[in-house]
Amino acid sequence: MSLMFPKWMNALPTLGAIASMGGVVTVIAGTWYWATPSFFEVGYQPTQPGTGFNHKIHAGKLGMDCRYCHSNVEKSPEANIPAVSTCYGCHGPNKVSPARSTATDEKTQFIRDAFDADESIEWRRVHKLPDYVRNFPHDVHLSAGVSCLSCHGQIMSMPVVHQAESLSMSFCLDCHRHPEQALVPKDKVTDLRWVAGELEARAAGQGTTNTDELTGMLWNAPPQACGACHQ
Amino acid sequence: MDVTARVGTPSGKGYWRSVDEFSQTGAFREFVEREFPGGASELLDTSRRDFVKLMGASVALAGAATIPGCRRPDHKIMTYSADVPEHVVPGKPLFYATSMPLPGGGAEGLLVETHEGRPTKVEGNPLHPNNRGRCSPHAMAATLTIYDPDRLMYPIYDNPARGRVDATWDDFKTWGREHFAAYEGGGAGLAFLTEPKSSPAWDAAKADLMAKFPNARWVSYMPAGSDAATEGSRLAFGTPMREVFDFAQARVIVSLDRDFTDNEAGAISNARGFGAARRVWKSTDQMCRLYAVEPMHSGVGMLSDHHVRLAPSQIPAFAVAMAKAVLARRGNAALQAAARGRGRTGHCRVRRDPHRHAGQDVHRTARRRSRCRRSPRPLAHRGGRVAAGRGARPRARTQRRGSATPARPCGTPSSRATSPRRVLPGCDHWLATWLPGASRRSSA
Ligand code: HEC
Ligand code: HEC
Ligand code: HEC
Ligand code: HEC
Ligand code: HEC
Repeated sequence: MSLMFPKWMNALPTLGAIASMGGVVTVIAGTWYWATPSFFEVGYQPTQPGTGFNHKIHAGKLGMDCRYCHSNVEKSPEANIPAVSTCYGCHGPNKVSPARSTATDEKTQFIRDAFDADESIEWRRVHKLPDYVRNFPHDVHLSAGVSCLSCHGQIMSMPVVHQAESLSMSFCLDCHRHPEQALVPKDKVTDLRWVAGELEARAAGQGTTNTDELTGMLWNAPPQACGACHQ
Repeated sequence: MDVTARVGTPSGKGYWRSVDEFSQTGAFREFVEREFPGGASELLDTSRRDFVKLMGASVALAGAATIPGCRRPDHKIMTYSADVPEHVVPGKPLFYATSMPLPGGGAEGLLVETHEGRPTKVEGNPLHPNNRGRCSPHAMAATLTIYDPDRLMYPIYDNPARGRVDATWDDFKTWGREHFAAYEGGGAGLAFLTEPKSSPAWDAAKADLMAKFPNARWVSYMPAGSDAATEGSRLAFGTPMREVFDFAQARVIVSLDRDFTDNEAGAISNARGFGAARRVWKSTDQMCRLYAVEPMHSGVGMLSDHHVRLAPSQIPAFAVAMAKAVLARRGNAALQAAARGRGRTGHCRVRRDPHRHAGQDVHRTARRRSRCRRSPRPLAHRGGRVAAGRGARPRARTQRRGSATPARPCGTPSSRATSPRRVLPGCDHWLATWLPGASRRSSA
């Protein structure tokens, strides 16, 4: 009488169990690594309209302060993108001379077109928190002495803005638990080069600012309660 | 499907609920035949296969969308262009103080929250002496009116040949110049039909028009106005008046089918006064007691301690019976004094102009005293036991509710007085000038 099931089949349940456990581990590990904001979002760099806007030239080379354009960043929860008229102030007819700069008329024509048509330049949004993060105030962070660098990276050397940090929940909370490492004097928050140097020096134990004093000047401890951000 | 045709002419009484039903218009039949009124979304002519196909496609699409959807949606940041509006800070609300007419007459002071130029919320202005940070439900709902897709943005011209066509204000001006030329000399035969409104700009425009057409008629009409009450007060006291209640002092309030905290010109201050009379701070404070006598559950009915359900036609009789009972207990003199505002507590005030009242009532600290301020023309007694009568307005109330059976006016003298013939002649002037909120009944 032949066997209905060959003998080796007795090993099947064990093998199956091991395989499925391996599968579960793979899925978890995969999710852990790939399905996170730090994998999906860091480096996001959409194509901007026109010839784009170059932070490396304007903020880096020309040394313009961020607040020249992002003028409400200290007053409002939202950092604004400048109006077309702000660009037009320098890129109107016969303002920035093409002879002495890289800004040829063709490169900046989209600004004058938009201005003349009274239409906005439709910048593509780079940084975006999910809608369920209802509360992210720029003004509070800046007046606490958190530099743009901590969240946006070295914008001054980005020809095209990309997302430098994950902006995930653990990113927010890591700083909220230990804000002292990120705080800088309030008049330096937009001076990203200085901040970068300072934070590096601080990591090496040679910072020039007193972090305890800066932390002591905080109005409130940074919140860790869910309601603060998820409202 | 024509039931009448199939069944033959019905014998006995035929009942109908609307003129449309009676005349069996095409629109009405369509309405009856369709399960959902036009505009409600329907899946028309779908078989089960189509339905499953549709659902399958949606699921597939949703799946396909999730994979690239792990990337965030492509948002655009629309900046301002050549002109940047002053005061606008993206991310911060900007508040405007404004006012809005109340349906029952008068107006309320409001704060409108806007975001980047879009109104999002209407609240009472905390600095407005009447609103003090509160507002009527009409004001709350006004945000929706702004975004109502059916809102008229331009004039519409009723072209005799082509029906209704969209027009511009320039069209209207051209039309007006031709059309009103015929009334140049005095304007006899010309009538302006308007909503009752109390606004200085409106009054100025009206004055201009009346100066140009002195013989024209200016008729303010509001379907659910309170002019029956005004007219009742004229019959009773010789001068048209409007009540201003002070519930803060009341110990017992009887509301005769009157939604005084929600649905009338003084609702905001009424609700505040009622709240004050209800609130208990100390153990010795007394709560007021509210009796609501009404045919349906209104807001006041919800608040009341005692709710008596009564048909609208019975309410005048109830008022008479109640007056008799009060008379028996307190005597005629007391009742008359009360009606003249000199009762025991005597906190009553009748004003011709609700705005003047609002403007004066600013002494919040001296609340009691300011509430007791006497007016030269008291009408109703609100301090003692009886308050908030409504005898004069049964007709207006039933019409506002739009009840299916038009209740007959109940034959009290005051309700007869609402008949248009007695109100209309010669009254234009005081109605519009002295009682901005008072409206006239249609002669329908
Ligand atoms: C001359 C005006 C100007 C100056 C100065 C400027 N920016 Fe910008 N910034 C823009 C414009 C325009 C955009 C939108 C185009 C883009 O995203 O590249 C932008 C975009 C950004 C964004 C991305 C916003 C998004 O879409 O999520 C960040 C972050 C940013 N700027 C940070 C800075 C910082 C930090 C500084 C100072 C070091 C700075 N900017 C200086 C004009 C300016
Ligand atoms: C304070 C004056 C100023 C303002 C404001 C300004 N720019 Fe410029 N921009 C310049 C100058 C100067 C150059 C040339 C820099 C160089 O070549 O060294 C330039 C260069 C450029 C170029 C050419 C870059 C390249 O690739 O060579 C573009 C595009 C441009 N700007 C866009 C903008 C836009 C968009 C805005 C508004 C958000 C803006 N600029 C606001 C001064 C300004
Ligand atoms: C604490 C972290 C943090 C700091 C500090 C910070 N930002 Fe941001 N920024 C964000 C986040 C998070 C967003 C995305 C916000 C959202 O999706 O609502 C953002 C968005 C922006 C945007 C896009 C706004 C828009 O309309 O979508 C600009 C521009 C910007 N930041 C500029 C700045 C500048 C300039 C500074 C420094 C002066 C700065 N930010 C400092 C976290 C930060
Ligand atoms: C580099 C440090 C840092 C990062 C990153 C950071 N925060 Fe904060 N945050 C602070 C500090 C410091 C405060 C306290 C400010 C104060 O109250 O003085 C704060 C306060 C807040 C508050 C309270 C605001 C209030 O009204 O008191 C909120 C909400 C908040 N952060 C949200 C976020 C979110 C969301 C993120 C992530 C996108 C984030 N923060 C990332 C440093 C940080
Ligand atoms: C400092 C601000 C902050 C606080 C406090 C905070 N969150 Fe979050 N949370 C975020 C941000 C930012 C994200 C979005 C991460 C992303 O981009 O996916 C997030 C995402 C989430 C998510 C979505 C899953 C994910 O990780 O993407 C959940 C669930 C959540 N938070 C729960 C909580 C709970 C529960 C608490 C309280 C213990 C809390 N959060 C407190 C900022 C905060």
